[in-house]
Amino acid sequence: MKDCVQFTHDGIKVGDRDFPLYCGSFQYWRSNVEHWPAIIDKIKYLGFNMIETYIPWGVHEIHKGEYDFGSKDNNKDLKKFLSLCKDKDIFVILRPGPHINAELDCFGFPERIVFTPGYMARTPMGSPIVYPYATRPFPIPSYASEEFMAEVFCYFDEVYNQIKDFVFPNGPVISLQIDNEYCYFFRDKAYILDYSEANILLYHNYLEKSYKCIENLNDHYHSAFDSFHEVSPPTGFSLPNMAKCYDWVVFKENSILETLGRISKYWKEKEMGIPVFHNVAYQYYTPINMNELETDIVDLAGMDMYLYPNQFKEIRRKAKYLAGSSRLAFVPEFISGVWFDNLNPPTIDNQEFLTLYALMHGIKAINFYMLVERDRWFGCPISVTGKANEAYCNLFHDLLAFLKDIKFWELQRSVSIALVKNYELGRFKALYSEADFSPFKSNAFVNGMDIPSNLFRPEPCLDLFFEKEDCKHWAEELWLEKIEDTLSQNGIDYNVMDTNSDFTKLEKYGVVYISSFERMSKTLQEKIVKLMKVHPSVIMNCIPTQDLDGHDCMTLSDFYSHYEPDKQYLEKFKKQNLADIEYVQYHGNGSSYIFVANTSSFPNSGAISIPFYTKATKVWGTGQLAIEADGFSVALSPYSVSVWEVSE
Amino acid sequence: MISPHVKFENLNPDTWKNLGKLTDALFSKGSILWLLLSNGKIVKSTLNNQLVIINEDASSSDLFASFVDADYIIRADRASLISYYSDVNYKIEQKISIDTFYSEMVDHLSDYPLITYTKRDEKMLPPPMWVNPYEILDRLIRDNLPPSCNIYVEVFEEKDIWFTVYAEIHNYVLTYVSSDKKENSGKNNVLYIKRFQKNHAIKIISRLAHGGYKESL
Repeated sequence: MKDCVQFTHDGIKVGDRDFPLYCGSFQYWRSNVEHWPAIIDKIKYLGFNMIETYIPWGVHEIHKGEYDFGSKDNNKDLKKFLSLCKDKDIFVILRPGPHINAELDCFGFPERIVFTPGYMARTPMGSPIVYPYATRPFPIPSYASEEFMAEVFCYFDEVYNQIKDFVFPNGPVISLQIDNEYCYFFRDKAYILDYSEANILLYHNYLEKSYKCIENLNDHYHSAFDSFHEVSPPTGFSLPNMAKCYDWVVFKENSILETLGRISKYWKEKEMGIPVFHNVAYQYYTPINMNELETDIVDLAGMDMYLYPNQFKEIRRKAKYLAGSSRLAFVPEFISGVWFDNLNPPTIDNQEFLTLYALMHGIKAINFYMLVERDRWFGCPISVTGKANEAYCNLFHDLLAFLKDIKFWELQRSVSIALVKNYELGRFKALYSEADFSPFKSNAFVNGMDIPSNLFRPEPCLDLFFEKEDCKHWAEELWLEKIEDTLSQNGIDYNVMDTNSDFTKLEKYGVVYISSFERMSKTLQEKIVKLMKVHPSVIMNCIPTQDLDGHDCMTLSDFYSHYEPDKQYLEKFKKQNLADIEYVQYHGNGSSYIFVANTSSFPNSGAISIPFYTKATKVWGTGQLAIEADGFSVALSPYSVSVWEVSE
Repeated sequence: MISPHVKFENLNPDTWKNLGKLTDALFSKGSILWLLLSNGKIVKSTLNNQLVIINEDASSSDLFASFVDADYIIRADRASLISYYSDVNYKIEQKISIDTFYSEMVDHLSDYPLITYTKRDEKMLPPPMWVNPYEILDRLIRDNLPPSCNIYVEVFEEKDIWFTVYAEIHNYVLTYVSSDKKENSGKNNVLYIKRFQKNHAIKIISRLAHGGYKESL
C-alpha cells in the first residue's frame, strides 16, 4: 500500500493534511472501559488530536498462545478502543513492544517469556541478569535468542489481526513504534551483557562478516585463532585486547540495529502505509547509533526526556541534537507525571518550563507521557476515571492553544553553528569503560546500595586526554559542552550532530566545531577533510595523528597544516553576559518571536542585544521586557520561559 | 510482602513525594570509603564515588582519622565481589518477590568473608548493602496488624497533612496502595486508621531500623 502517512520536518502528514505531532499517552487497559469516552473527550479538550498507547503482551496473553483482547476483560478490548478513537476523530500511535516497561510486572513481557532460561541474557559469568524492579525482580531477556524472537512474531501476528482494520485511512492508527528504549534494559555498559550462547553465536557471525577470513582477524588482534568460533568475547577492557573490545562495542550496536531492523521489517511487510519510529532512551551514541537507526531501520528516531529544570543543559543538548540530526525532532516520551517510585513529580511551573524550554531549543514533535494517570504513574492532567486535575489541565490547555495560535511547528530558528559530537570517542570511552558488579539498583524505597562504578574503572593506559577528564558519564565531551555554554550565554543558536551524520548537512552552517581526540579512523579523517575542502570554518580541539589502533594516520593532520579556519568566530559576538538567561529567535508565517528562558532557581534579569526590533508583545509567560536602545532588557521568574512577538 | 501485581493508584503528588523522607530513616546516609582489594592488596578506593589514595598499611582507625567524612569502610575482595554478583544473579532463575530477593542478597553477603564493613561508630546502622528494608517493614506489619486488613495512615506537619497512604494487605502481602481511602475500604476488611506527627513517624521508622522491631503502631 502506498504510504498514507509520513513524518515531515514539522510534524506528520496524514492523507493530504499536515498536522503538528503533539500527542499524549493514555493506556486503555488501565482505565475502565466506561471511562474511555470521558477521557478521550478530556484529551481533545486539552487540544490534542492524537493519543499514544502501548499494547502490552503480558496483559493480553493469558496463557501461551491464548489472548484476551476483550473476550474476557472488557478493558482489554483493543478493537473497541480503536473504534471509539475513530468515532471521536482522534488519531492513535501504537507501541506494541515487545518491551514496553510501563511499570508493568516483567516490563510488559509475559512471565513465562522472561523466566524461560533459554531466553535470558547472560553475564560474563554465565548467570542471568536481574532487573531488580521495585515490585518484582525479573531476568533481562535476550533478543539474540531465535526462539524468543519467534515468540515475539507470534504475538505480533495477534496484534496485527487486532489493528489491521483500524489503520488510516480506514481507522485512526497513524504510526507504530518499534520496541521501546532498546539499550539492553539500561545495562548499556559494554561488559555487563549479553554473553548468552545465542548472542555469542551472533558475535561470531558478525566477526566473520567483518573480517571475511580468520587470518584477517588474527592480523588485527595479533592472535592465532583457527576459526571465528574460538574467539571469546571480551569481559572487560584490557590494552592487549583493545581491538577485540572495540569490535565488541560495535557488535553490540550492530545487534540493536539488527533486532530493531527485524521488528521494523515485520511491520513494514504488512504494508500498512504508516511510518514506524523508535524511542531512544538517553544515548547519543553507542550502544545506539541514532543516525544509522534513522537512515536504515526506521522512519524516525526520537529520544525520550525525563529531565528536571536543574538538568536544563541536558535538555538543551538533546533538543539541539535531535534538531540537528533527525528529520523531525521528536520526543516520544516527554515527562508528564512520573512513575510511582520516583518521588519527584514535576510541579505545574516545572512542567511549563520543561516543555517550553525543550521546544525553544528545537523540539518539534512531542508525546507527553502520560496525559492520563494510571496504576503506577501519577501527577498527570487527567485522572484514571477522566476527571480533570485542574491545574495541570489548565496548563496543557493553554499551552496547546498557544502553540497552535502561533503555529509553532511551522516556525524556524536561524542557526549558524553546528557542534559535532565524536562518535568514535563515544565508542572508545564505552570500550574503555568499567565493568559493573553491582546487583543492587537504588529506587525510591531502597537507597544507597549500589557499589561505586569508579571502583572498576580501568587504570589510564592509553595516554589519551579523555582518560584524565573528570566526566560523570562516558558520553560527556567537555570541550563541546564548554562551547555550548559560551554560545548559550551569548545568545547564539546552534545545532548538535555527531560524526556519523551526513556531513553535507554541515555545509549550510557558518562554523562547525568537531570534537576529537588523538585517534581517529582513516574513514572519518577522510570525511572531515572532504568537509574542510568545501567549508572554510571547521574548528577542532585536537587533530588526530593516529588511527583507532594507534598506528600513524596523518590524513587529516597533513590537510590541516594548510587549513586556516576562522578560530575567532565566537569573539565576533558581543559578550552579552547572559549567564542563566537564554534566548532563541523563531521566524515564520510573517512573524518573529523570541523565546527567553531563565535557567536559574532565582529571579533573574539580563540584557538581550537584538537592536533591530522596536516592538515586543508578550504572547506567553510572566516575564517583563523593556525595549532599550540596543535591544531588550528582560526579567523572569525562576526556571521560566516567556515568549514575545517582535517586530521592527 | 509485595505482590508483583500491586496497584499504586491515585497518588497525590503533593504528599506522595514525602514518602522518601520517611523511608530515608531506614537507611544510613553515611559516606562509605570503599577499598577494592585483589590478593589482599588495595587496588582502588573511593569515597563518595571519587577515587582516593590509600596507605596500604593503614588500619581502620587510621583511615577514619585520615578520611573524616567516611562513616564506614567497606573492604571488598574483587574476586569475591564478582562471585557474589554472579551468585545473586542466579537467584533470579526462580520467581521471587522483591523482598525475598533483597533478603537473599543481604543474607548471602555473610558467605563472603572477604567482603566486610567497619563502622566509625558502633551505634550506627550497618551500611545499606547489609540492610534489608523490606524485612523491617514486613516485621512492622506482622507485629502490629492481622494478616489481612486495610490501613490508612495520615502524617501531619503540625496541622497540615504531609503524607497519606492507604494500603490493602492480604495474607501479609501488599496488594493496593493509594493516597486516598477507597470508598468501600472498610467493607470487607478491618480498616485501621493511624495518625502521626511527621517527626514522630520518622522517629518510629528510625527506631525500627535500629532493631526495635517490636515497635508498636
